[in-house]
Amino acid sequence: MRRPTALLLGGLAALAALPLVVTQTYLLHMVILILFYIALTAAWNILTFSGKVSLGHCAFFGLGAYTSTILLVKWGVIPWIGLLAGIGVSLLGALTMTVPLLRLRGPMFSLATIAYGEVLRRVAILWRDLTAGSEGLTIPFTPGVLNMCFTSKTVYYYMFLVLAIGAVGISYWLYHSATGFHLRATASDEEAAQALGIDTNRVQVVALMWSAGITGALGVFYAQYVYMIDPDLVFSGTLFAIQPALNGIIGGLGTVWGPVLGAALMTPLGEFLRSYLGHVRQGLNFFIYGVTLIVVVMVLPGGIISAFAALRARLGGGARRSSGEEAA
Amino acid sequence: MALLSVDRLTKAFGGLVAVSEVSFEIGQGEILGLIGPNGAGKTTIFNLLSGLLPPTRGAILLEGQDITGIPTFRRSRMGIGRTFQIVRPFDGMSVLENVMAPILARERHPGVARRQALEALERVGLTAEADLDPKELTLARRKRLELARALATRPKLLLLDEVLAGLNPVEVQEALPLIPRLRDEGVTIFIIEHIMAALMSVSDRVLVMDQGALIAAGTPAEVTANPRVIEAYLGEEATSA
Repeated sequence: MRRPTALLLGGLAALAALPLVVTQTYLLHMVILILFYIALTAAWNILTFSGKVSLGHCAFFGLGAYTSTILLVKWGVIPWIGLLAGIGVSLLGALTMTVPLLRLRGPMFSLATIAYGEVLRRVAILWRDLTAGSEGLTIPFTPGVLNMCFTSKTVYYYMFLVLAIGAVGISYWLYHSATGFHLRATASDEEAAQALGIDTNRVQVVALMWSAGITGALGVFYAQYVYMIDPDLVFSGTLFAIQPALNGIIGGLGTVWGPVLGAALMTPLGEFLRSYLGHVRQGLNFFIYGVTLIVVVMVLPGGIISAFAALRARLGGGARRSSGEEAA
Repeated sequence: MALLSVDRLTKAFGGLVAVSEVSFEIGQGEILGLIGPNGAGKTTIFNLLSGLLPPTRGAILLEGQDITGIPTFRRSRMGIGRTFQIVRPFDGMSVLENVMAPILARERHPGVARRQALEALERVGLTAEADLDPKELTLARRKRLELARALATRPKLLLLDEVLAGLNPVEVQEALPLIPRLRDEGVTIFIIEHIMAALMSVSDRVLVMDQGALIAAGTPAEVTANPRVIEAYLGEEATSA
């Protein structure tokens, strides 16, 4: 067996057995949060394969969460069907609102996406008949698989584990597929890509759809995990747009594993700082978090993953160079 | 029928007319050269042909079909390939992956694309460098990568924008024979080149542009004897040399 495969299988086995070891509710919640952010960041990152950095993914997240929750609370539609509807509405939202923005370049695109998430938050506050406004909606506690509602946190753990594996798996598959090649080519040089027969507009839309669809699905699962949603929560730019972007930038934008690494490191760091330092001095936790971000971005502009790549190049590169000398 | 016909093609950037009423044809299997002083509009012609710029007026016909309004990527799939004057390899992709990217536009299977990309690299003599980062290549090698990538689109017409620029004389002599060889394989070639001797030696016919207009066309011998050309282009070279 190849070493990466063995590593992957070992890791998966360890993850599957984790709830046997982590029995404290708080710690398990933390692990669930990490898995959630790995999935969210991986989904968000799919669009950045094309070089576009979105800061408005909370829009798709909130659309997913509200769609399934409204269907459940108002009409008693089970969340599994709500999940399909939530994905559909997120895709529709991406198609109508974000696709037209794709023609914007660089920071212009990022700025425009911020507006989209914010507009939806306002709509959710004002459209009281449908969303109950700022009061939010509460999901009735009726445990059962059909209701996607569980008494044990362990079940949620496995649910988010599957989601994280699914999101990262899709990200990995897309990255190495023809679409992934075309996305990376588009990110690097749009004109050169077009001159080589690559439909750069189409692949960007494809990436956006995957990214928005998975983000919408995560909104549905998240709502079922927290039971209560309101506009400031599920359309929160900080939690569901900026955070995945930060995780991605810290880990390594546009790579498959960088965002996974970023989410796995930054989620516990943020939680730890908040619970241990949040009450010492107001804002101290954010200060330290911010300093960490600045330091990582300055030292490793390509993200933490670039340090691994550099290390591997140094180890592997030495061997290659010596064999090159023999050939010469 | 000509492979490509260009009819009164004009491109203005505001008040500046970069290409003015240019008409010409390229025959199947021809090697057509394009020369002219800096700013004559040569690269603009290429950008118009590949669709990266929309023309202000005029028409472009590929095998009799009007392609003037067709987007760049579709023109590439219809058989117009090009290289860029400044090489533009894709970041974060190996030499091989750079060549796989265009192949994957018609062939969805990465394994098949990989095989075809290796063949394209072999055609330009880059097999040994397949797994390197393009940044590690010399300029001459990167120009070959640019060529391999364009060839990977299986062009009927290949637009070569100064593929020899920046190479030393030895590298030019190594690269030059690739061009007639490509023609022998059935690729029609339209080439911009600053190195006169090189261009004249490979071209069947040469177009000369000056200040956006086509001022002469003919065999290399005819063109070099044309007084207008000598004045506009060769004269400048002769006096500076």
